[in-house]
Amino acid sequence: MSWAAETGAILKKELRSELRRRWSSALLLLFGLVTVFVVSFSLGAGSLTPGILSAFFWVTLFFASTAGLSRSFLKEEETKTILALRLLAGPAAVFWGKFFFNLFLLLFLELVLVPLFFVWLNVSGVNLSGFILILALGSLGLVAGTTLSAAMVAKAESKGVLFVILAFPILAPLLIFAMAGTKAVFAGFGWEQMANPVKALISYVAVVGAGSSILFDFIWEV
Amino acid sequence: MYIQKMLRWLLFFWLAAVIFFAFAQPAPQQQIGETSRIFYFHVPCAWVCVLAFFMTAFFSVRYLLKKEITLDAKAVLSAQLGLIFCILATLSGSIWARFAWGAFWNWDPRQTSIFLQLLIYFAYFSLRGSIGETEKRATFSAAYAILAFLTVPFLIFVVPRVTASLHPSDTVVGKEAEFNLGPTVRWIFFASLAGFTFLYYQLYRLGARIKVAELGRKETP
Amino acid sequence: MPVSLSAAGLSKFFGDLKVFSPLDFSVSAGEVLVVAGPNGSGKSTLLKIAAGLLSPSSGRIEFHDAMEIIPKENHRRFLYMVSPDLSFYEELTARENLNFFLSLLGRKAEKVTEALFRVGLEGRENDELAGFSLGMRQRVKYALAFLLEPKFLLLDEPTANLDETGIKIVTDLLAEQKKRGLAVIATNDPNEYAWGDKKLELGR
Repeated sequence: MSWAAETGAILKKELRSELRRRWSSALLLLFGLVTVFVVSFSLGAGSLTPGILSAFFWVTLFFASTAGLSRSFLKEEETKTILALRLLAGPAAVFWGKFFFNLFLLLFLELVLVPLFFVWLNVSGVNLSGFILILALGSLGLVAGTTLSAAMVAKAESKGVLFVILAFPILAPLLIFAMAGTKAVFAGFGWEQMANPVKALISYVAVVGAGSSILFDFIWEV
Repeated sequence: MYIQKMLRWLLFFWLAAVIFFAFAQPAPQQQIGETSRIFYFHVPCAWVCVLAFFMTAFFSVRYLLKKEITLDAKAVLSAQLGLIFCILATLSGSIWARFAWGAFWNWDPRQTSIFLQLLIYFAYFSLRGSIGETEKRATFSAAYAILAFLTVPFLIFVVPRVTASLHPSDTVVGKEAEFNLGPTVRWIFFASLAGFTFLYYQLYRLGARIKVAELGRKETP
Repeated sequence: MPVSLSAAGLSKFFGDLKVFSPLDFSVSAGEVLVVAGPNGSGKSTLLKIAAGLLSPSSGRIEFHDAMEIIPKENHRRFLYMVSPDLSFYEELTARENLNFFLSLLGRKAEKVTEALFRVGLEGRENDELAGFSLGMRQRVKYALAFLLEPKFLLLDEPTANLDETGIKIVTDLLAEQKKRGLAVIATNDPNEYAWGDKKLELGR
């Protein structure tokens, strides 16, 4: 399995670079923490409906993602390492290496953010395994929906807000499904009411993930 | 050439007839009343918007496989036409919503979907605007169009099922679409749908001729 | 197994701006082609097209191994380029950089220390590239050339930032390369024209 070994090599390199310089994790964490902090101190705990809670939760993750998940490609372009990578790496390994690295980043953010969110906003009595399922699927979807855009933005001439402009319409259905799912969780509903969002999330992750990985080959060549 | 001219006149009279019957016949949906006449125009606009985006994605796939710049030009042209119909569908829909639901904008899932379709077009053109190199621009925007097109079925079919909708296609027409529409209504509606589709095709043909001519002029200075 | 490289009708435009006219050339095993020409004549662009980092506006360039055309997705296993436009990772050490690129190609990393010794970087293996001078970074790129042993070697401004012992590294590498495959060098320096068996003059 050379593909798996090469993907592993890219992932290892990304994690090592990240541990030394903290290009992306600092940005992600900063955005995530500031948003949760602002929301919770301005609205106070205990008064929020399940709908509002779940909307805040995903909006926070969305903005943290748009701040941090494009960094790893941008950095390769800025430091001119992208050409060495294009010379010696295969596109599939690069795509999946970056994919799993971004997934790691997002999981790291969630590890810090979720407990704070639950404590500061006084969330209790939820179906925890249901929440984790939707969080995992939503994170996969966030990464699947942003990796291709991040690669394109890195090579575009005017970067600015382009990443958000590109990523948002792709992620919108995902955010709607994920919000519907966590809303059911925060409202204390059971598995039955979560079935539709979960099915929608799984199909989104499959379709967008497969599509992105195929399209990445074409992006990588030019 | 002669046949083309005939077809354009046919299109003109066809759409004129559709407009005439759309107002001369009783309103299509009694529960909703007079405003339901918008059904004859709003739905075809939304249909062309999706069709045009499908064509953009189709030409994008062909571009990625063949790398011919005319295919890129056709993808862009279809996106430009799609954007016009998308705006028309959004406007006609929100005017109707003002009278039927009481506000121009309600964030009904159907409105969300068409708004996101607008954003996709906006993102597509922004991406093209930010890349100078021809091949890179064509490849990137093609990839983006295809990825965005993959999310369209989610917007149209899945989002309204995950969140509740008040849109007539989900409540009034619903699953028994064919039973709720009378034969006259059906005739006018499908005539309009065909007319709009043909209008898109005519505009596309004209635009494609202009684009190909422009590209040809650039290559032979 | 003899390798060869051939280009036919190769041209490049950036928009309406012509970089170079249709070029035809070929390089056989054991040969070194020198691409010469003034600044802006498209030497680097030509090498990048050969490396697959840019696509030509017309024509094509093919790499052959035992008379078979090497498919594009396999180029990375046969081809390596040293260029000022191509950087390694600053936040990684010399050894980590080399290990990383070797692992991308599924190659063993046993000879990394030896290769770094050959380019005169012994004792600096575990230092981050951020602390390296330009000449030292150039040497790391040459260390990778010794490790990869590519059939096709492309060198853009091979002696940029290198001192005399550095230049010796390049000539040693080229001597090895002639036994292994072929090389293409883009240079402005008349001293380096002698390294080639053939010369392609651009910008005329």
